[in-house]
Amino acid sequence: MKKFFTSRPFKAIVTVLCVLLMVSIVFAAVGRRVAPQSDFLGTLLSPFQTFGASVTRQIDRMFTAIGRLDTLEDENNRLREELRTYRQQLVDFDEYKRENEFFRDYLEMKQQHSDFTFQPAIVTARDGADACGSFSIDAGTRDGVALHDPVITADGLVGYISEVGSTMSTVVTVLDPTLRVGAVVSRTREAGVVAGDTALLGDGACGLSYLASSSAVTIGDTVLTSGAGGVFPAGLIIGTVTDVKKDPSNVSLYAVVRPVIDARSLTQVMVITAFEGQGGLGDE
Amino acid sequence: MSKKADRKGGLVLQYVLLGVLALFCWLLQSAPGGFAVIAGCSPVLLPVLTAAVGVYYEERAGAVFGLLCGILMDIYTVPSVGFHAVVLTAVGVVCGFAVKHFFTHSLWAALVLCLGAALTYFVLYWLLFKCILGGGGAWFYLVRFSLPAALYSGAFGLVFCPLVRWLHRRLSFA
Repeated sequence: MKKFFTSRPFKAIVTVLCVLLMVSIVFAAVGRRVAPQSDFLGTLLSPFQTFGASVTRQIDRMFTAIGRLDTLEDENNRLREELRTYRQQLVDFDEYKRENEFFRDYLEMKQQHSDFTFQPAIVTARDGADACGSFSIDAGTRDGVALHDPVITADGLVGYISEVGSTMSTVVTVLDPTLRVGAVVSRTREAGVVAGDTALLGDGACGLSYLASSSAVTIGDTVLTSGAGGVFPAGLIIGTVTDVKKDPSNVSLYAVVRPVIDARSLTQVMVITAFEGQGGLGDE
Repeated sequence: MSKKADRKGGLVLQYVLLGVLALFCWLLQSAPGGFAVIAGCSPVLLPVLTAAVGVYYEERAGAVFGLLCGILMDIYTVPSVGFHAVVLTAVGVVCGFAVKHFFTHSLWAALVLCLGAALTYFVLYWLLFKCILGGGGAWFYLVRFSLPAALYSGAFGLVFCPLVRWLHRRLSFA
């Protein structure tokens, strides 16, 4: 032990400490400044201090968070619930908006034809095997729908009810060869019959037959329902003439009509359950 | 005991998955707007799926599956009261029977039977609804729409056969 106190390293350490102490005293007394050795060490250790402080802060946060875990979970659940509510409101809003647009289109038609009684319906399914585009809707006899009631959209005629159940019905479109509609050309007021034609099905068109050979019908003319027969009300748009040909019998003219409605893309329709002058096809 | 339970669990899982697949196919084929319409022809998937089930699960399961799929199709297509149920049940039975007695168990046989099922379905549909009950132009309709749609639908056998085979093999735990 005595040896250590008399050794050179000990003397050197004591000397350095004395020098440092003196420097500290002098700096403190004279300039009230940090001693250079402290300044030097502080600069050297500063990054470690920052790191240490950061780690300490994180640990502190973690423990605080653990302490608040229950509160945070409650808050999280509450926020999730709020978000779900807002999302649902957004979906409802979009739905109302779409419905509003749908009914606004019909309002104009209702104002023009105050005698129409409408029953809105949603397209529930398509018959994939039928190229004529027949489909099912979610309205039936319970909703006042009857066999052969006309089915329309705000744009024009879609077809009619070919089969009816209590809660659903099947709609045959104007492209179907079994459906015949009394028609009139809007510009010339010439009458004819619109019916589906399998030869035109591929183009999504149907035919307007029994036009007089002297007919003035031209491409672009609009074809409307004539109201003849009482199945369809007069004045519904069926489509536009895209071609005029001679009938195979060479007695009359035949116009190719492209319907205004694309039956495949329909999602909502209106069934006209009653209108002025409504007749019917009976049970055929 | 454990093996038996595994087998039962596997079967239940297979039937549930097949049911989900059938519902999915029905939604696709009957969706308003049309599914994958090409030149006016859209595929009808359930007869093809029924054929695949008949091939891999044999006639009894094929018949039950076909019946359920047919009823599903009939519910939403009023004019065909019972048509789909009858045709699809027959498809399930015939495919199960045919693969057992006339074909070897291969993917090719399954594909041929799927195509046959699609052709049968579309020809019967055409015969009943377009030829007998429909308007004019029935032959044109057959050539222009029914046969191409049958081929198009049959092509989905390429998807359904491997899928049903995988279900059958992978989930048969025993």
